[in-house]
Amino acid sequence: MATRANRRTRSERRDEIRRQLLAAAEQLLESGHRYSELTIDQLVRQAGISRATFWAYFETKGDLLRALAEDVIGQLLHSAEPWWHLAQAPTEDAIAATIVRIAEMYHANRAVMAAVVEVSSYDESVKQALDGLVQGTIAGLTEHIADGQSRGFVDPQLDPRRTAAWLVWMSERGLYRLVGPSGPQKRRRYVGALAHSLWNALYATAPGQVRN
Amino acid sequence: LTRSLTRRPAVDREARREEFAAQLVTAVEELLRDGLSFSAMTVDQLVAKAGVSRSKFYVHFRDKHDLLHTWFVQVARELHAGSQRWWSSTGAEDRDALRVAIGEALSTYRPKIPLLAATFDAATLDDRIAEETQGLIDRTIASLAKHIRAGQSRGWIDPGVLPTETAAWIVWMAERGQAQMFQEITDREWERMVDSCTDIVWNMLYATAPGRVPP
Repeated sequence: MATRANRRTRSERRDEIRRQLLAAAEQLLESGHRYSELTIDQLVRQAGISRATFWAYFETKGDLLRALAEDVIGQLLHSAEPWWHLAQAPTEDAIAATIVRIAEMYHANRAVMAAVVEVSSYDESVKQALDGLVQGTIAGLTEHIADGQSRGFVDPQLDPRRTAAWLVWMSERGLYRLVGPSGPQKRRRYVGALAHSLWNALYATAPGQVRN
Repeated sequence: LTRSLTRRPAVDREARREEFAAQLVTAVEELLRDGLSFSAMTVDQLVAKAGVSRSKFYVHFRDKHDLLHTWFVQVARELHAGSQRWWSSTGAEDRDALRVAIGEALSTYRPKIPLLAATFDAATLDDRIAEETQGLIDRTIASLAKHIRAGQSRGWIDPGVLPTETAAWIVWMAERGQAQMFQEITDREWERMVDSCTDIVWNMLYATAPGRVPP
């Protein structure tokens, strides 16, 4: 009984430490620090834990970023999910609402995503986490295009896989370079342009599309 | 007389430096092909591959980023010029004409993609490289936005497109898409990717223009 309670406490404590460190890393990144220049000392001081505790839960600083990245990437993939499963012709407003939701989620987590992009240029395992997000999104969009073509609401001329690949790389880089650093007004214009671009690229010229 | 004497060597020196940069960059490309990333590459590996001495490298370049910067400044103008056919077209072009223009623009980039990808990666770590790559991106966005505005005023581009913002998304699509997908690509796959890129850009900008959509 006592052992079980202790074990539970330990696993709860582990989750708590993880949350504290993730929050600390986010705060430091948001205040303008580059991930590559953050030290473990800064991280543990911000989180209010000891160095020893850090090393008990993470082997490297890269481990911590990977945990952060998986969290954010999971949320982004999740928010795009309903889009992939549309069974009927969407309206431009519905597409725009989905794009706004994804873009706002990206913007809220921009510090982590910028660190992921920065570190992925030299850290293979972080690069793999980012590639996982991109490839997962390409697979989802490819399926959506092919399905929409068979239902008549996506342009039948498009090559599903190649179109999805171009559009996903466009979105990934544009979110990082255009949406991430912009204030609300500029962001609204960039996100609006993305939504209209995707609408035009995929749906506007489809035979089953009701033109408004 | 004094002036021409002191000036000519400076020009020669700059020319020699650029020539030397070209030679070193070939070695960088070979190392990239061998599977070594630019971030992991050392100057020792680089000079060994190029068959030159370390000291000669450091006479001309501060570090490997300085070399990449020198190379990029040289090629940026050529890359920008490669897209002129697309931007300067002033008629209601058809899809075939757009395919030719985009094919021409992307074929300017194609042989340089491994180094360009390394350059854009290095931009996250080196401020001078960041400034130059951003400069090329900004000029490209400005030229494409101008093309979009011209097409909108003449009725062959969708008036609902935001010129600068849409141009920015398209330029990043081209940059990132090429860096990620064109590294080791067959000619046949390259052609199909250019077809696909053309279809996307055609739909985004031209297909729904008021002068084109059937009533």
